[in-house]
Amino acid sequence: MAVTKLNQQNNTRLKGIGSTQFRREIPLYFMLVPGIILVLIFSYGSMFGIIMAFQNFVPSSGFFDSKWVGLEHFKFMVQLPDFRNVLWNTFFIAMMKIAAGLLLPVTIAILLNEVMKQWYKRFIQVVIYAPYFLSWVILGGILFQLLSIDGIVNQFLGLFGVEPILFLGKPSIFPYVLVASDTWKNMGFNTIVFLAAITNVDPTLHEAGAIDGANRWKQIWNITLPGMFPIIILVATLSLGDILNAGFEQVLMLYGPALYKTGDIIDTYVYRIGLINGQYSFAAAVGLFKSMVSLVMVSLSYYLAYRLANYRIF
Amino acid sequence: MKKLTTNLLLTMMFMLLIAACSNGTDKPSNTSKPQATPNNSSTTESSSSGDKYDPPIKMTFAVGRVDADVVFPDGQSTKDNQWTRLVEEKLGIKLDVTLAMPKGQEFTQKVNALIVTNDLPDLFTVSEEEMIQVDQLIQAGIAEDLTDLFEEYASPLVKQLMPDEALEPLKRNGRLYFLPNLQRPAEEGFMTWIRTDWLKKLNIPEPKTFQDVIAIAEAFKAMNPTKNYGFQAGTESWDMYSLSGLFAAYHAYPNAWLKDANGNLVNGNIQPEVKAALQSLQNLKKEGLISNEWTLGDDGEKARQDLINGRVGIHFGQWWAPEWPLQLVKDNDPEAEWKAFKFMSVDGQPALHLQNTVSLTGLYVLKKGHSNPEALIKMLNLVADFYWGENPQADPDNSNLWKLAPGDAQPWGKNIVFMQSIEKALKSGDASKLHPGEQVLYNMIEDYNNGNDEFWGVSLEYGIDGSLGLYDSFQWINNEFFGTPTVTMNTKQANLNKLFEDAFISIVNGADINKFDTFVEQWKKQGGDDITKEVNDWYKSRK
Amino acid sequence: MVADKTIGSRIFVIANYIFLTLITLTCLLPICHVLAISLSSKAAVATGNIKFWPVDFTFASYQLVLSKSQFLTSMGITVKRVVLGVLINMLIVVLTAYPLSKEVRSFRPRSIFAWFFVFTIFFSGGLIPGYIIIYYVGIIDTIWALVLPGAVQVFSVVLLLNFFRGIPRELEESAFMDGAGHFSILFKIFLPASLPAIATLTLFSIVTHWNSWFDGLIYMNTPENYPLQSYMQTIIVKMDQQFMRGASKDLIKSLNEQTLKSAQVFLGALPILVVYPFLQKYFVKGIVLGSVKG
Repeated sequence: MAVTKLNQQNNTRLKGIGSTQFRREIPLYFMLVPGIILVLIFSYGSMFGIIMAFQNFVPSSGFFDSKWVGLEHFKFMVQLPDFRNVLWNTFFIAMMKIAAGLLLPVTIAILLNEVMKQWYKRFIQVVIYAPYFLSWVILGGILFQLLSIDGIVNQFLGLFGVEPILFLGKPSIFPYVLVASDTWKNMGFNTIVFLAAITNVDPTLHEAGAIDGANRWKQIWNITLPGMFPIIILVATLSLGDILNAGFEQVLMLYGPALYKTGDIIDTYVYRIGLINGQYSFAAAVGLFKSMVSLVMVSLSYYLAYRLANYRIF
Repeated sequence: MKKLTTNLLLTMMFMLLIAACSNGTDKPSNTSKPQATPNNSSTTESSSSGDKYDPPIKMTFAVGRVDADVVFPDGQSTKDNQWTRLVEEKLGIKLDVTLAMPKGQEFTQKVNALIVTNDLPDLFTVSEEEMIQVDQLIQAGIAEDLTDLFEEYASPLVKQLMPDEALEPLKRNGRLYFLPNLQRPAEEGFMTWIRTDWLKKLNIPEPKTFQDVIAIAEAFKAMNPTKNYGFQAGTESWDMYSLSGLFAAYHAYPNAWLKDANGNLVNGNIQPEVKAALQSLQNLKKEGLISNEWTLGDDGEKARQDLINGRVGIHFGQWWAPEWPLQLVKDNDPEAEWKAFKFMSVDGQPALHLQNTVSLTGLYVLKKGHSNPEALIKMLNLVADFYWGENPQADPDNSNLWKLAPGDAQPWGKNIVFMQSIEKALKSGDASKLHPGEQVLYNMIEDYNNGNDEFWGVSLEYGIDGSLGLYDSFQWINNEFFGTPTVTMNTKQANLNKLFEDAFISIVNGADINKFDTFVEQWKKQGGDDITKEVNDWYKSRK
Repeated sequence: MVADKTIGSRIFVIANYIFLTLITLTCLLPICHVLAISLSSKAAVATGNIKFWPVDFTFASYQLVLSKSQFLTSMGITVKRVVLGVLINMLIVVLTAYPLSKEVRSFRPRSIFAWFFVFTIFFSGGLIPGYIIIYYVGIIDTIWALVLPGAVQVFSVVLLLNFFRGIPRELEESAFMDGAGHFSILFKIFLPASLPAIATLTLFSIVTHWNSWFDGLIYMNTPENYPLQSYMQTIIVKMDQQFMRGASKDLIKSLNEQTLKSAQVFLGALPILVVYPFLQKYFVKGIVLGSVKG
């Protein structure tokens, strides 16, 4: 890594002043102490707890006296139809969310940029940020109200002769309700980055375009969009890491047993089999599986982001 | 750099390991500390069951049955109530209620969290729906073996209320690991509740056949075709979305192990009768007699709202349906009247009512390692004596404090017994012989007769021709299996249940009826056949 | 920008305004609808005719909700949690971001520490091991279980350290020459210079703590200790009749579960809805600075 090289180069130069350098660094170590302790306990500590995935964990025996079973839970997991189903749901819902979560905000950002009345633009922005700041409990309460069979959405659709739809009770529709509501929650907030990218597009390009007689459409198509391209690629790449994050709190809030078939995702599954059914070790194994896949995907996404967009986390 | 990082990580892991380890060993010794002192002093004097512990002993208690109907009288609370006071005063037991919640998933989750951290209270309740949790506890060696304690300490009254034949099926390998809240299975039978004020309004006679019931459902829907529907459905955890009456009409009894003509046990879910029932349900749904939202995962809330708002007039429920939810209908519409009917069938054969061989409404588990495990039995004696002893007492009106008691013992078929004596008292006008529990109900019914609709539901249950009396006329079919979950059940039952639910829901919602045959195939292949064999082995071993 | 006046572009402008207005309405109307229901009477709600304006106006639902001691207790717990949680979050973020923003030259183990923190974004122990650790620390059923496990917000640290790096090095070096230590440089130079970032992170921290509910649901063994959103979750998923108990007959006449739930949803959303518009200019700036740097 580049950093290490730099480090070595510096080392030769710094050797002479090693002790003074260390003295100067002491406060920096102190500053890190609280964060390190907390991360050590709560993040790394729980990683240690993962060993229960390789045991038949018996609470009264604890981590040290529970029986080791090796990969048994993983073998069981792989051949369980339930698990395959859950894995697919997770992947499907997450992918759709990533796609819709890119498309809509990019569109809104471009269109917002075309709004000339500044006060109206600001008003729109403030309003569409709102859902982002509300929890899934609140939004769940709102959605239950809106989407019920005689709720206002179905009343509205009824005006066009649409039969009432069971949005939150029909397995075939439920994943799309998840995707739509999630995209809706985050659309405003996600436009921020894209709007910033647009303002970074060289305005002289637009002026040149306008003089050339290009209309709005062409300007968007030929100037704005290509200008945003790097950031779109970057956001898309980074969201690869969320490939198994289909939205735990949202699903837990909105689903019910009738929707397990299409709505159950890895996180809710772990919660159910672990804390409701009490199969701790198996739940931990499923959780570990998810963490491993996520680790690979996140690493991959950062690597790609680095290669494609020269992005570095820090 | 990499090496350094790994080293650092390893060191930290190690530190943590030590921390976790020392913590882990600390815990048990903490809880077992009090064992040393009070144990010696109390065991000697505690031989006679009436004695008080001196110095008092402590027992922590998590109770998961404090439902909405528990109302504390002034000055009482979950921590300090009739029962904590009584056991301290009479037995010298300081009962510390660490958790009091309604029955349900949230409580199960809390108990599981306490199990995983090995931090269970001394005594806790488990709902009858979570028998798997109990078996996990027994296997993990966490539940105290109560067999000998019960034998030694239980009072004659308790032994009479909990006879051997009721306890025997609940034992695991011949040992008793929990105290059940026994219930007579007959008291769980479902019946058809129909809004009779609508029948009168529409001038329809009371139903005699299942076809009559369907006709009534259609008539009820016709009262307001866009909003109304026929049958209330919607609690997923409860008896096929509370549609059991429609299954029984076709002699289908899902979620039960039935005895076939050869004396073998067969699973109710895969019988051809179920297919016929599903076909009929699908038609009913098409006609709009079952709500579109019948599978909504809201614990039947929406369906209940529909019931209350007068959109549905047929409800499959148990004897206590009048108190909940039908009383809510009455509260909303004082004109509402309901009446219970037996299940009716589509053909000449009588529709049977399913009942379990044993039945509990929850149970009490004592964590292994308490210094005075016999204290649990003593508390049970006290509870039994309080409600059913020589000077029986009742909870303050409507408070349902029995749900907080550290034990539960009732006469076999209590509610039916109550109803019979109350009915007799109402007819004769002589209430002097009534038990205090009965007296409370009697007064409520009198109150209702004097115009207080609040007790309309109670009157419909325990009053003259009360719903509890209907059970006498039922013809039963038994769910024959009541053992510990078999080996294959432990790993595959959940998935099989899901298969059934999927087939059930999708067929009713309009899928091809032949999907049922596919389901039966899958069910057999994915462990159903193995389970059937195990269940039959168990059945033969009991004979 | 040069405004053009062709018909095509006019149509575009109009269509654009319509589209954006519709999008805006999808965010505005649901909240109006819930508010309208919460302020309407039971009878009006049962007819299903309430759109965005209350019918048969009544405060009954709010009266009952606000008279519930558990609602107020939970609100109190949430407030306590937000104050405590945000203070701790911010302190740790600032203290952690500063050393990590240094070059390897001036803080040699910087990369090791940085990866030590960042790795926790990539990999986590999962639900049950996490629960066990929190139990072993001994903070189950206390407010600390809601505050400490998430106290180190690694994403915020990364955002702030990137921000810190944008601060001209000369400022720091000249302060050093004057004999200032790291602590005073951090608090006297870096912090004032990064107010937009701090404001953004504070807002996020507030929102996160206000909105969290799942941790409350599982780390609190007793429901009396639930923060507001956890308490509301149990109510929205399943409200029982007990809730209405103790209400006067007059109140009961004008409310039902729907209006009650709506009232609680609105009350739970209100504080955030009031606060965020005022902070939005900061967070927009903060987000943009934090991400564009990348």
